[in-house]
Amino acid sequence: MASAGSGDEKAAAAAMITLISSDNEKFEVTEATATLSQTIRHMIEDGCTDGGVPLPNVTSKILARVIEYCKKHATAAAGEEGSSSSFSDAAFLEVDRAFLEELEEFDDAFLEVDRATLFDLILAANYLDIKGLLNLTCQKVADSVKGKTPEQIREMYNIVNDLTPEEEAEIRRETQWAFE
Amino acid sequence: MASTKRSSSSWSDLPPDLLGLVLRRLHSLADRVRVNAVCRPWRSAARLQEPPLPPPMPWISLWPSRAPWLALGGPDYYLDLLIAIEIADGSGGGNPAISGVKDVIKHACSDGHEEEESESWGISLSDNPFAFLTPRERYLVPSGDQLLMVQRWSDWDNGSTNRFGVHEADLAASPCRWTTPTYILDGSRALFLGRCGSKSVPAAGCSDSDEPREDCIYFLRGPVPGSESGVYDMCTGKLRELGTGGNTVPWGAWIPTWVFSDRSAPGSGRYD
Repeated sequence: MASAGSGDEKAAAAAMITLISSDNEKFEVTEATATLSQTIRHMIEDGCTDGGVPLPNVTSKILARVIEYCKKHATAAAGEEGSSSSFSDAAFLEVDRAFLEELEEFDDAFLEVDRATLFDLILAANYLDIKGLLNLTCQKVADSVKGKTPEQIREMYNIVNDLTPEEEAEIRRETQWAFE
Repeated sequence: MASTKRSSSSWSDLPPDLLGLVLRRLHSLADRVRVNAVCRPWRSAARLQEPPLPPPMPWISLWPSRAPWLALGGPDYYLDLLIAIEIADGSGGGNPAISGVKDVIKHACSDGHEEEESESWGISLSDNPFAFLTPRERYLVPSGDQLLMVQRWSDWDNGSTNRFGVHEADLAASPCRWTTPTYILDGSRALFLGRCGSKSVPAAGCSDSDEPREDCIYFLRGPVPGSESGVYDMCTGKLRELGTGGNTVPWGAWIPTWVFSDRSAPGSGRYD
């Protein structure tokens, strides 16, 4: 924390971005946080962020979570860059490992959300083009369906079975082994 | 339910490209097939994947050690002759059939002339005089347009796998010969080695979430003693454990074998 000294403060103060959610809530974030989103990065590069960046596809509830993710990951990235000059290689590796562990813990806790929120996070990560968040959320879904039957997956994700009896019979005929 | 109504999102409406990102992280054929059977939009999304999903990881089957399934050569310790047999699998009721014998390479130095061997195999034993490595087993693997011979090197003291050397058959040379070791496979591929048969398959990519991973050798060895499984990275020379989805493979008097389903999951690429 102490390393975020006067230099960083100046830079941060000079580069704040306003994000506007679909329900018109405004969020002030640093450029470093905002540019974890490739979509926003391109908007900044094109100089079209004056007056705020409207994000009509993202609600304030989801945008708050996304910003939480980006802040944490932007801080970690800045911390790694900042520390490289003042530590020996071994100490740097130690710091690096600590950062990674902390990030992993953060990510695990971050994913403790209900299924509807997880769905919205995936869509937001895709729309805002935040690769790390997209990987994280898709991996969460993949892990949750491993070893589950279609019925269990439907229950978990509140999905209505709209397959006709004929289609179901066809699937079972083709891949009986997978359902036994 | 009423309280969540506010969110109109339904998981069955997950866009196909995003469902694809999830499917790419499912390496087991069974998981992909079951996801495919959840609802109609998911079923059609799985078929729309472009580029196609990487082929799923093969299964491991355990064969009684006294009933070898398919012989690819003689005893694998001191092969004098290596014969490249092209096998048409999956046709004719699942029985493997030999569709052609490609060529024969005489290994000039299988009779223990170490100097010749180090020369022809491109392995310098003087690199590390304290590493007593012995070539223990050899595998023939057709890979794309190449015919590969993979040699397993083990630690002298406990016989565990130390590394693999991959050699390509140079059939244009006269006489035909094995090339010096190669560390990258042509195309993006991975190798699956087993005593009962080996195979090269298209790799999913080179990141941690990708399986099978590019330029990696997945190996199964058995039966006891010395049964072993793992993944060897040809580029880095690093070994890691083989993930078996939390299932314990009951090592014992079995010869574990890779099984590649010829019915891959919808939207998945083929093994060849």
